[in-house]
Amino acid sequence: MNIIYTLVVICSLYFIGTGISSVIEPIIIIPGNLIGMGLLYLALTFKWVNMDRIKNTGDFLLKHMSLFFIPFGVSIVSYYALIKNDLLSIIIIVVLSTVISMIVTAKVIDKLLERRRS
Amino acid sequence: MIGIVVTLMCYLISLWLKKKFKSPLLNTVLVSSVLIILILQISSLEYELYAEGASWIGKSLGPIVVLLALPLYRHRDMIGRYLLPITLGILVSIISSVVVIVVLSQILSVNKDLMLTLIPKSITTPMAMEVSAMLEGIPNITVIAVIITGIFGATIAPIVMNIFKVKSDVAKGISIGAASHGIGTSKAMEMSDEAGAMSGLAMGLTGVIFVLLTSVVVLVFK
Repeated sequence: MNIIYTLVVICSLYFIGTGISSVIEPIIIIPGNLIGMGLLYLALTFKWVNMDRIKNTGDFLLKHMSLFFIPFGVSIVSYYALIKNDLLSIIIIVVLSTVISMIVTAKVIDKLLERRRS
Repeated sequence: MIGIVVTLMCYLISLWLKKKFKSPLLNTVLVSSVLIILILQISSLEYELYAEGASWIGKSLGPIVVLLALPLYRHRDMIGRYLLPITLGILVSIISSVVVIVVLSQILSVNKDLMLTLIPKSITTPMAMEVSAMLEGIPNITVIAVIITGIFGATIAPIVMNIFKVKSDVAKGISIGAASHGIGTSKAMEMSDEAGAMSGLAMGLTGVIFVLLTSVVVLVFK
């Protein structure tokens, strides 16, 4: 029962999120899934949704979240022709900018937290 | 159907490989995608037929992202306590990423369209496409850059955290989510519930801040 309850909750919040997303689209693009995430947070805060009933299925699905990205990884194949001329530049830029911003951000936050503690 | 079966099968193989060899390079999204691409190359299975089934798995991602509110709610005290480091961290991430992209584009003498196309690569796909369009980049190429960023970020994250001795879950989660959106967040979820919570939060905030900043930049310069 809790599995069905969880699926009903997350699918309906996702649909409401997508609806809100398309309404506010002329002002700002915020994907429906992120709005749905905010709605679930509110629903948990105001106890509209029972945390105990969704946590098992929810945590199970989150543990396997990477599964749901695989089709997008494979889809690169269908785009290959678009990028093949600039492939090397794209890879160098993507790889370096991702790793540098990750390192800088992690170290800045760690330093801020250390300073706060001392 | 075949797309669903192949995806689940390769996912299981990638989980097994990760358990057996315990190397961060064996990231599940990376390994599964490579396996499936190889299968598509050597077998008679066409990409279109694969995608027909696999798109059901892709479409289910929406409701799964909604669930990121769960770890965020469990660690809601962290948001208030670390509001300043979180916000500063996200701004640092956006600025460092854009600066590196612009500088490297000059060094590699990449044309301006491609540079603008790559600028939003760290945020979640729909927002990245929108930013790309606002900057007059090429949204279809942005999508690929977003996916490569996510897979690379998720794969390199545990190695970066190890080499640079990143201690707090706030630093790990925020830096991963801000640099590599949802795919990175799926990795942060595997590291710890706190890192997953922070990464999900960073993914959302980075996207919103990025879109707002781009609107301002476009307004000022056009």
